[in-house]
Amino acid sequence: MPADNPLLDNLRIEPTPGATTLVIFGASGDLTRRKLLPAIHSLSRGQRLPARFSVIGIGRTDLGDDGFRQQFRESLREFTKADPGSGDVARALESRLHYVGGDTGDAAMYGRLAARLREVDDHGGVLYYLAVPPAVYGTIIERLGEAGLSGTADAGWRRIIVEKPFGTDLSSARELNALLHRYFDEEQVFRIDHYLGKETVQNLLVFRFANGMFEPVWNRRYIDHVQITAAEIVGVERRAAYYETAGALRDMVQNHLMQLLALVAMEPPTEFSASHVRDRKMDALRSLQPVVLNGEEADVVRAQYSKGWVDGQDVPGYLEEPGVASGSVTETFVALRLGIDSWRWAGVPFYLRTGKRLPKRTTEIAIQFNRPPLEIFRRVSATPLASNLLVINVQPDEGISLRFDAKIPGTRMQVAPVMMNFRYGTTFPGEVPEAYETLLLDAMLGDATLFARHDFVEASWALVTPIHEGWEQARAGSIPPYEAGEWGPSEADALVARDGRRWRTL
Amino acid sequence: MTTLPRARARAATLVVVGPPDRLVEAADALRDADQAGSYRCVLMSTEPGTVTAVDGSDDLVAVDSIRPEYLNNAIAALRLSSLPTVIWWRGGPPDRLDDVAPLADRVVLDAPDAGPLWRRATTLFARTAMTDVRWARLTRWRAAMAHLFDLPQVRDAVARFTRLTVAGRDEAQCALFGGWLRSSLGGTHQFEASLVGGQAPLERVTLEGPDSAVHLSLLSSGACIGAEVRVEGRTVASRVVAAGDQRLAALLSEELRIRSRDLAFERAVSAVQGAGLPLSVGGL
Repeated sequence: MPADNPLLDNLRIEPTPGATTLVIFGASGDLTRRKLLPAIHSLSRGQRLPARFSVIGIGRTDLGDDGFRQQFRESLREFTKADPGSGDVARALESRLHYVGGDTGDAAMYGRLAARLREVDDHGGVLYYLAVPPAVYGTIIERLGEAGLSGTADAGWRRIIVEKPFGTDLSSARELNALLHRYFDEEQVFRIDHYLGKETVQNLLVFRFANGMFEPVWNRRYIDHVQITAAEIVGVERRAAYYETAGALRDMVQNHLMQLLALVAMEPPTEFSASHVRDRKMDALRSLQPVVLNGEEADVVRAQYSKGWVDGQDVPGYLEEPGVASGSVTETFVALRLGIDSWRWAGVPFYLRTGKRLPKRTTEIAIQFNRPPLEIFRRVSATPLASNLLVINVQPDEGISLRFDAKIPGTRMQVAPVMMNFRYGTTFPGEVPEAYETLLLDAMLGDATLFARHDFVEASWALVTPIHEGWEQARAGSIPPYEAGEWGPSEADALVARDGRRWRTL
Repeated sequence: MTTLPRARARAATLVVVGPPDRLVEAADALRDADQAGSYRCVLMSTEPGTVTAVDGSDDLVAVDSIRPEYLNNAIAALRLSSLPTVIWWRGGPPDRLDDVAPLADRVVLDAPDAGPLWRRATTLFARTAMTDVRWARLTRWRAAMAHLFDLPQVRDAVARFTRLTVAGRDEAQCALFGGWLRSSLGGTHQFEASLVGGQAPLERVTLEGPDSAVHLSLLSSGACIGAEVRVEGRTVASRVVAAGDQRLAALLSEELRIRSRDLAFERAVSAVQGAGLPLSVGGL
């Protein structure tokens, strides 16, 4: 954004990036159609895009500019809510869409891309978006670097967004980071995790560090344990080819759940900036204890859904899903018990669980506080009093709830738990930006706060990879099943029950 | 029965002050304003007729026939304690603004005659955050103009712009846009406002110099603004942006989302006052 634009001062619609060309690799893919093109349109409607903004789509299919524009129209029809003005804005945006066809492995294609970039905007910034299968990340990064497209002193800024999964284990993540750093500085690299673009996740930082009353009790002296749940109703759907190589551990735990854990566990940063926030998250991840894989003290449980009932529907088991290998032992459910070696969290377990075909779609963080040191109401309350509980709902009903005990009105002294609720949708009604809008805009602005840094990715893989390797070694063994529509296997309940606790009822 | 959107936790108080007919209009807008649901809404008039006109509601408190000198007492009694208060001033004795503004965290001006209120507002800026619904109407126009100033050709031409023409239905609206440009660019370009028919408070804006011009205009659909930069007779950049939802409910929602002081608005109003930009047909 030019600093000497006097009209941007106090503009309600802000901030707006400087001149940008967005180059999307995988322009005809699902992510581009479902998320990226609608996000660009929405940003344009909200006047969040610069006056000099263009998109260059890259794909194997030779769509041409017209074909790409047609795809843009179809994408908006299918995946956006039309409103007055949408048509005019879309038509104006359309003229800024360009397309370069070719194989991402073909060096000549990058020559054509360079020519198109010069033609579209020779002096602005360029944001590359890798919306392609991870197998071709390396080729694209190398070719961009070799073609001199990763940045030169005389050109505008160059940045690259890399989608998850970022590697498949620690060594592949390291290789990918090394390859990126051969051609791009870390400041140019934006590893996207769309969870971080969600309002509640961002609000977690505000909740913890903009309020004086929570941080003093945010530690082992007051907190009994933390539960992080990311539950999906859906099964593997049409993603079997990918999911068979990933599983729940790589698909959800290594990225989304680790990010949520880090945001809960991190120390307060000294300022709200990308480096400070990411440093503190990194500290939290570094403090994680190694996971015990086997035996009675095992910290991890995996399972796979079998057929059952979800949402009133009879659904097949994982092994009956199209594209799933017969006898597959890919996990669709993972539960973990993690400990953190820090003064703040020593002795406080973090329980994580995620799975497909669970009874409810929900992502939440539940902080359970210690009971009062003396239960003076024991004589009047037949059952033990409920502990205070702070629940941060990430999706779908974004908000925060606090459970505390209250006296039931009447002449008798009776105590019951009540909830105090804050819901985004009711307190701040109105349109909430999609995660991809927030993240695309941040990348154009060069703000990496909501993106994963190379060391965070490697640290999370360092935790997850040994678990996966352990499972690989035991591949001959079976994987525990859980009935679709249940909250995972009994082993997951036992994992928590071993500590005298239980999973929250959702 | 007046029902606000989705009953929910109240997070602030919104007091609407004005004559009964404009309070009825406000009640309709509140019903559609997505931000209003988290406000405790109180309608207040110094004239009779509001209570019956808005039809006793569980969601709206309506009070009328208040003596002007007691408006501040009535607001103080009805606001939610410890939570922000916003006053939406849709009319009433302008001199009472001095008494009620200190009770509010923010005042949204929205009276047909802006002149007397803006004159008072400039003395209140330091105490209370103030704005005008006209300012919310300008948001998309300001953004469209501001984004054109990202272009080097436009920034280079700033010193050479000599003439600003703003056309619209509402002269205060036109003057506010002129005040904003003058206070932001610091120029002394000649300002000209022309009243045109139609529904839109603002129709077109042209900022021009001897060799270049920036032109904004409401497209025929009324939903979009076309923006164009011409240098030596040639169009060097153009774009189309959404004009945004201009319904009163949407503008109010935009205002209720903002809690802080708006220095750009304050400078724009001060520029209107200081430069004597036209605020009435007679002044044009």
